[in-house]
Amino acid sequence: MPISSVDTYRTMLAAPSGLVHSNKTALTTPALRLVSHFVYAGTTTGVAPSTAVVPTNLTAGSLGQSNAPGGTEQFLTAAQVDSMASGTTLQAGFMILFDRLSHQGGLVANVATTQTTNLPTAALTRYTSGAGVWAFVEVYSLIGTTATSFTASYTNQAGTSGRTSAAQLIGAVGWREQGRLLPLALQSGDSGVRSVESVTLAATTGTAGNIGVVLAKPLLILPIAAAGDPFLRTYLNGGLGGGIPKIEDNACLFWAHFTTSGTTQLVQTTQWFGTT
Amino acid sequence: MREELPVAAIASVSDLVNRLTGGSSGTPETLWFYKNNRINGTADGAPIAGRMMSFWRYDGIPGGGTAPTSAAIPDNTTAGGLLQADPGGGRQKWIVGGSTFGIAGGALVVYDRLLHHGNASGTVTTAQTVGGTLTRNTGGVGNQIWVEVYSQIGATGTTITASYTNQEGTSGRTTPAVSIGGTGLRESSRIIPLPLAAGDTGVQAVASVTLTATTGTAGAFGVTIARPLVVLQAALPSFGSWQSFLDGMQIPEVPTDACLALAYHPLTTTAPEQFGCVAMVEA
Repeated sequence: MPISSVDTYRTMLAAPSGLVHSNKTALTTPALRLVSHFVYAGTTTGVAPSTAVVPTNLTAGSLGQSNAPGGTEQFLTAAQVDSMASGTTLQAGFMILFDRLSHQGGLVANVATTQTTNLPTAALTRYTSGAGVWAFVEVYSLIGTTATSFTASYTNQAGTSGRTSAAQLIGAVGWREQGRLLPLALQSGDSGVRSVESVTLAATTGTAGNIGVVLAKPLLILPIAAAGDPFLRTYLNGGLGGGIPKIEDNACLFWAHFTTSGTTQLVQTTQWFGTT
Repeated sequence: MREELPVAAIASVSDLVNRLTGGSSGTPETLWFYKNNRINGTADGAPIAGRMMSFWRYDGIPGGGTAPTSAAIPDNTTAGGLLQADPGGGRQKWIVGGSTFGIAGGALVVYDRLLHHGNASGTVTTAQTVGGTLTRNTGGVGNQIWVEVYSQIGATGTTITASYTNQEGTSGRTTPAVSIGGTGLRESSRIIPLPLAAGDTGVQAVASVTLTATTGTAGAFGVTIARPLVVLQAALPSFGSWQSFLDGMQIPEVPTDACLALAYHPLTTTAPEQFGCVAMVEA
């Protein structure tokens, strides 16, 4: 059920139903590019998928929060992010929390033919219409230095198949690194993705690497306005961008990171959950 | 913390929190967007620092729109907009927060694209008809006239005026001449806002636009009647913020059928790649 009042929200903060600590020990982010935490080593280290599956809160790489008790709803009520390493500060930038809804891997970045290996993506079990669901190509292992582009064939939020994403950059510095998230630019008129059926690169990047498709729902933005910005972020102090997101049962939560400068850093997050 | 809200429909911050989490038929909708500077997969020109630009056709999430031709009324189903749902049950819809971040600093304007047109030529020096009839904010107060370039016009600088009907319903009003054409004022996706005549505060209709002289290249440009709703700040690369009523932002209504669209004030010449969200509730 919804949060009835500010007082109820404050009570949820003071007595969270769940508190999840997580860290990534050496998160490498190129400057001004979105990178997924999922496969980076830390308290929970994801594994690059192969076959198309639906990840859950029990999947390695997920924050691993518990589900809400029966008959209740769960919300993420607060968060904190910092660098654990002594004498270091967190790089400025922002982080987006996603629910990882479906993923696969085993695609390569050195062929220019249509790839359907381990596709289509597994059917959504959360946000099943696809409305507001983003699709990415995620780089699981480094691909080549040659800049090119890719498109994908997908089914949109209305269930219409055969939609084609607009050409998006892939390969070369900033577009090839492990963890890199390359958003699918949707066909005109579309607002979400229900499934992805194939991926096609315009040319080889020069290295096969390992890339895959991820379907994910954005939930929250954390602005990190200045290096070393570890305050407790709540809706009331403006620290949670996007509101107070409801967390679906079995959600596979993971962070994506975007830094002003290219860096490798140790990132610690704490997430407060509350149920009503 | 502010306790009173500027709209009567949302009674208090507690009411806002309740609606934001699905109570009281708040039907919360947070629209997440991503825009790069490509149009149908092809890179658009680089921004000009300080020159307003349109994200209307830019690839991303949701997908980009297309250049209009004759005057038309875009709505919440028109490709290029954020495609939000209409409010239900006789309720109104309100923006209660927003955020934007990108690879370059700038400010993002979320506006209701009330009318657009796009088949004007950069070489015609007679009055070019715009026309069309607004269906939202028809009184005109707060509406702005933007010239929007869809295909690069010429390198010769000249000026442009528009003949319009103001917020009082007085027709034949003329905007002061502003520059158009030449570097910074001719590029694809450029927006050139037209100032209103002295004493005017809005626009009900635009009858025509007139170039003082040819820019040298026909290209294609048009007129957009826009009603800005909220400005989201991202002052430095990757530095954004979450802005909400609690920080002092007002709570603008999103009218039924509104075509929520994005315009951008770049601080640099870096091609934008922009992320963000707009949070809305019903009351």
